[in-house]
Amino acid sequence: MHHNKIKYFNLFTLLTCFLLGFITIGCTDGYCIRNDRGMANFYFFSKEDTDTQLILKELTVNAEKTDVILINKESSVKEINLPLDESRDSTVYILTYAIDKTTSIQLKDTITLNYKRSPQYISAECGTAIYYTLDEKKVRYTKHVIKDLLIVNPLITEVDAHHINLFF
Amino acid sequence: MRIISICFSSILLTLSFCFGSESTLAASSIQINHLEKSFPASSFDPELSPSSLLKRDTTPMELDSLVQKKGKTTKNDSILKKGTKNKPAEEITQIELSPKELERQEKRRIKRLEEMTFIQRIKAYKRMQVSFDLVGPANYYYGYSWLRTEAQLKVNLDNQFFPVFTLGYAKCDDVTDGTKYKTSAPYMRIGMDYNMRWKNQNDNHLFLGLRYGFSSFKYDVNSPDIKDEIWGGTNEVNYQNESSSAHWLETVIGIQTKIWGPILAGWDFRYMVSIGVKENEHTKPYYIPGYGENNGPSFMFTYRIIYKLPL
Repeated sequence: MHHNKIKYFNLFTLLTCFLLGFITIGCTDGYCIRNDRGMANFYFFSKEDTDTQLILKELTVNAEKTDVILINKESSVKEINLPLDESRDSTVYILTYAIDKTTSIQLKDTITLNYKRSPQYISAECGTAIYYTLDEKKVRYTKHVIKDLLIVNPLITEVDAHHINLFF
Repeated sequence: MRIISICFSSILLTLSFCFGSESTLAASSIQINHLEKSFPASSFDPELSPSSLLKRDTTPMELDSLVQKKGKTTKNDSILKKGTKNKPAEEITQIELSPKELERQEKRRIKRLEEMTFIQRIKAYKRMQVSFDLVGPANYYYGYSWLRTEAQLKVNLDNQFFPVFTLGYAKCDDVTDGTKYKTSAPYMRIGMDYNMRWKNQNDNHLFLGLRYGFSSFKYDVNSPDIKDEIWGGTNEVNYQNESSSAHWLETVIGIQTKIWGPILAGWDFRYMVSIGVKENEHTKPYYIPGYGENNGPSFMFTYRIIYKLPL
């Protein structure tokens, strides 16, 4: 009699756990936190003092061949994030600085990034994204204000990272 | 919610498990009282060892046939045979022993088991069991995009060590936000369980285990084109037959208990850590057969129906 009770008790608890198992397995928490697209991150430095970040008074960035303004007269800028052209292997940015009060001239620079694109499948929750690998040998830029450009990390993904140093 | 449910179910079943095994201890001690006298502990034989004789379900008649099968004749055989043939089983089980005497016998039994060497225990093979997981198929039935089915073979070495081999098949056909991921492949696990309650020598096991898992598989990814909203243009994400493989380690904790005859049931929780996944140039596998989502360490729950093979 006592033996039977034990059997039924074990059976009962096993079934309970079976049901609880379904509850626990049934709760999925699939979600994704990511940027919509890979962005090239630029840090600004002074050529004279490469350890300290430089703050630009005002900056506007346009994407060439479009009328899209990527950054519009942003003030006190020490870093920027710029999207890359997902359908071509290069992107041209036009940087417009604040008007020089002494000369009343508005200086501009152009930066051309060349890269290899790689459409990626990340996961079911995060979907797809384009990854870019910058070609360090094919970076072009004018030197009106910019003095130097250094690629720190050539891989650009949907994850935030520091990629390029600009020296003024 | 998940953690609470897991804790609750674990505590509940563990309580029942302890309750069941301790209560049966007294019954088994009464049954084997005469046999203790008949079989000296000095010589070890896997089939006639104290550990095998102290099985909960071993009746005097079974012991009698066990001795005959071995074809051994000892001084004690005549005592055993005489006792079992002339006395019905009921008479034997009704012998009342004082709690002190029971405790003394139990201590002696455990001491004997402890004195057995590791090799002696390994040699004491006690049947195999196969089990089938129910959670994987049930989840698929209730709408999950993946199916996991597996069969497990466990070898019982004196109720203490259990070498385990698992062969499974998993498939995933997931569509999320228009992105399709498809794979199907077999997987395997190999490892060992250790029964924490091996001294009780019954079918109620509380075990800890380690596993190594492996799967080699191919997968397809098909996604709607990626549109560039600034410059225009699109990118296609369509990769077929991407080849990959994965290795992982698991730690397992679980229980099993007898339901009826050779049928047992049990559950286990496993914590899995990936130790290597082959990624491709444009994709990495989202679902790994036998492991689940390729997103860091993961847990898995299995509920098994177990059959003790007559081997």
